[in-house]
Amino acid sequence: MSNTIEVKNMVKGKKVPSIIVTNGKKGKKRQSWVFPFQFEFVTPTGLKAIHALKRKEGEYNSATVADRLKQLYDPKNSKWHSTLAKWQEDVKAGRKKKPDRNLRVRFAYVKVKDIVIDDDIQRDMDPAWVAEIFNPKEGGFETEFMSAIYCMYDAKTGKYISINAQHTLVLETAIADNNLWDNLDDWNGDPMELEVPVIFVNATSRNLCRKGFRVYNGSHSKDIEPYIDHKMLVLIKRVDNDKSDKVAFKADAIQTINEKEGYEPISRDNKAHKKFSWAITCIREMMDHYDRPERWRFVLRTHKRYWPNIRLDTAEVDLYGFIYDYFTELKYDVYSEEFNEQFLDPCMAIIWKFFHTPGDFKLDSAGVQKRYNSKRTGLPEEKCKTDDNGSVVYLMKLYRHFGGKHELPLYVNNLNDPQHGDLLKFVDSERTNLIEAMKEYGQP
Amino acid sequence: MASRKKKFMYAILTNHYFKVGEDFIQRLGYGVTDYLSDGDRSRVKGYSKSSGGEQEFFMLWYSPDFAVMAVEKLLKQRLSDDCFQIHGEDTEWISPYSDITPEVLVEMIEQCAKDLNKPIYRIKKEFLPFKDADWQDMLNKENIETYPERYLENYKK
Repeated sequence: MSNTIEVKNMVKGKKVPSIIVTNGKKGKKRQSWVFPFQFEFVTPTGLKAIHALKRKEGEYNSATVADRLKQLYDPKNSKWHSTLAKWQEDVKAGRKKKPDRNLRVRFAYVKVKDIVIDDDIQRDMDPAWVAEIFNPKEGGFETEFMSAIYCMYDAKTGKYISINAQHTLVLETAIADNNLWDNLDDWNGDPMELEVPVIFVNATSRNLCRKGFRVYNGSHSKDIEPYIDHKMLVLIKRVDNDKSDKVAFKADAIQTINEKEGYEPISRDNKAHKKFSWAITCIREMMDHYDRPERWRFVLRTHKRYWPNIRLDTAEVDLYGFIYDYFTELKYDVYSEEFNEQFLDPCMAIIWKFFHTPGDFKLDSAGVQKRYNSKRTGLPEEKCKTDDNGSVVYLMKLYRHFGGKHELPLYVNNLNDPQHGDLLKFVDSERTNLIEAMKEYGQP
Repeated sequence: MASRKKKFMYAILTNHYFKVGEDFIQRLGYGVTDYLSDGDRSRVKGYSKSSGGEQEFFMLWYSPDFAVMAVEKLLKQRLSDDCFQIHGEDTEWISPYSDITPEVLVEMIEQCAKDLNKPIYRIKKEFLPFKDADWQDMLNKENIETYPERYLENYKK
């Protein structure tokens, strides 16, 4: 494919775009076409990334409870301090009793026949889920991860009311019943006589049992953010040197790209590092690239080239990702000087000049698309959706409108309706600079 | 209806004090707005009414093309470890345990604008601090955009 620059004189008054003559690489004169807006590169002011996951085999990090207590007691944690103060005030005023240490859970080995699964409290059993827990595939069932059985002990009947992990309980019994346990001693062969590990508290009411079901099934647990998944996978490969986990290899490859390009993903709780431009917070989007590492590398490099002093925005992942997809499919070298000069620099100049940052561009793009779709469908704007590639289509349309000459994928013609016209008819009326520029430099 | 796009940015140091441990400290904050005063609404008087004391913006910036919004977004990221939380939620107030002073906050705001390579213009000192007093009613978008040199420091077309 030819990468020859198409030269076209588009002078309007004294304004660019126009032909300029420059010295080529081998001393020859060459003619270049100039876009009406130039991207002004800034000097990076950020610091070097702190690579928390750059670890070697056997290199573990740990904290003591004392460390964590110190962290909790930091005066900045106003929610903790106000919660503690409320307890102290209520206890002092007699409005509340101190939490009773005797009500903490206890542990026991309990015979299966002494456990009751109350279907008022637990869900119906799902045999497929029992099979799923016992999945024999590599990385499937692991005895160590079988949960203890959570129960409430009813002193009146002497029974343990199961409130969580009934599938594990049934599986544990079925494994015994089918003679698949190794090292199962002191058992008479009757599945009901099997002893299983139970964590229990005293049942004071059925209401408490039902509440227990909800608590142990996640209504009071902190969700696991994507960063933790990524971190675990990287550490499995790097620190544990587990060569069997294929996803861990992919996570390691992405993490290696992050480190080579000077970035580091961080947890949403890592407030100390959120301020740094090297911090990656769009972890889910990053993990979506486990099977497309080169696309991710392009996202990071493009961000660093144009916006080195701000954090990577979620908006950029799709924007640069689609650019990578479309132009590599058209067989362009997306890292070439020509590609930068003819396409990326002008596109980023549009974003920088009229929208400031890619994040603001995406917000504006969503508004433009919603107005367009509202006109097309008759639905109110707030009910209209945006296209996954809508922002890149909008950007390419603007690029073409301002006279951009690089070959574009056919997607640039999306979001165009014979009856209602093109997306560019729906730009935000408050963006007066953009509207004036579109009139001044717009290509028919 | 108010525009969703903002042109003004402000910094505020509360007139009243909060007890923090054994000390009494003013609260430092920032924000963006599309108006200073608009009919019955007044941005700074909103703070006064809810706090029960007169408040003022000790610094104001203006950006005709809404760049203050990008500046505020970047500032929030950079203040993530210094922002004050109310009931566990981040606010646009600076934590009383932070070392950030009003002067540092002003520097940070202007550094954000530099790092974005986007100009934001300080409102001239003669119009500050902004209390939305009668003699300050000329500070509005229309006047500033018509006579930017009159109201903005170091304004360049």
